[in-house]
Amino acid sequence: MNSSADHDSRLPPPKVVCFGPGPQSQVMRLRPSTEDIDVRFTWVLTSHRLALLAEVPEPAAGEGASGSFWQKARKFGAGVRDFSCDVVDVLQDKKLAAYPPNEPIPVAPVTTRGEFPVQQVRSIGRATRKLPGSHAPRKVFALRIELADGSGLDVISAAEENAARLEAMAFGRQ
Amino acid sequence: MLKDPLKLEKLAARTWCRQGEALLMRIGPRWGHVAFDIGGRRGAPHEHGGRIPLRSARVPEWSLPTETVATGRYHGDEWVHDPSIWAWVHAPNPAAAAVGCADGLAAGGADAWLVLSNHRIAVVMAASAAQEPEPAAEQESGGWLSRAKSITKGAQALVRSEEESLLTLWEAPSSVIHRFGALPMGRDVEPVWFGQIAFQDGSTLLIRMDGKVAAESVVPAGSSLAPAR
Repeated sequence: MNSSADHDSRLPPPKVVCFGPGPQSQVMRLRPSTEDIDVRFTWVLTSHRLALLAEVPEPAAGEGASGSFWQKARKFGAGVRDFSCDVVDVLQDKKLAAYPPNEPIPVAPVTTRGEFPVQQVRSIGRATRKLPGSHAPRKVFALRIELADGSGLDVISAAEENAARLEAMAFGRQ
Repeated sequence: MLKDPLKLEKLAARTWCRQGEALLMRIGPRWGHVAFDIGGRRGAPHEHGGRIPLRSARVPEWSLPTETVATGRYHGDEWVHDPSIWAWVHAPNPAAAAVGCADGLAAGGADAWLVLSNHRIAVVMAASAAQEPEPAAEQESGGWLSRAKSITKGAQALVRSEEESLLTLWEAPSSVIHRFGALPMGRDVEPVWFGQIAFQDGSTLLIRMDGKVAAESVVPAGSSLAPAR
């Protein structure tokens, strides 16, 4: 193993790992596939449902005035996803130069790719998971959401406290 | 434009701190807006509504908050995910200390520094950055307005002065502070860290910080306050 972190080619932990008894189980059927590589997905848990949201793709260039809105919306999506970088930029006063001044920051429109009513959720709790050797770190912490058919998803974090916070959120304590 | 924290510290020590007073913390100037939840009314950006007689002469080229946050139609702490919001004020009523602080931050805009000394918490800005203040209108005295007039009189002299100094937009004795905290917030897996200043009157100011270490660095400030309470 290479001792220098700069040359560590291992992957960071995935954000979500889906699992299930078979490819036709509920979560496995819904999970994003390789065809969705350009789509931004967000798993959302509310008091009523577990849902997978997909950011509405940007229309092709040259569709007139709506283009600027879509571009802005896309930038907002990027901002949310990579929020830690944004915060650093805040402190350096470079923040959000990409957003036009004196206009509300646009929010990316999303569609629901699929959803399960909360009655189908069998359990929500913390778990640990050992990732393949191609990932670093290998031992990660998760909030595990399992449906009645045994399929589910692990929301992954390298920090145990983040999994604990997610669990508290899931039960309305955060 | 006063952006360098070290310059701010030197200037404060030379022109702002009183005998025996030392600066403990300074935050600013920040990009963006303060969101509010005051007496159950929510929205962004917070405006001082004329309660502060001075303001920054600069009109910053900032994006506006998302419509969701601007209109207060969010759940819990979802406002955290609006990148245009760097601070949040929560208060039971508009007379609360955290609202005064937010007023000062709104008036100081891109030039506002939130400072804490062992004696005071205040919002200041470089005198050279201030808009020449209008003479205070004659209005009934009491509360913010009489205080505003006295600040204005002092400020008129300072703004015209050759030597750089700090203008106080809002201040309160440190005894108004109940405690400092560090809070992991937001609905995402990775928390967004905020420093918390909780006031004795039940109001709170939350300040977006650059991570857990930065947020936790505000907490020990509480033990350095002068025991003047």
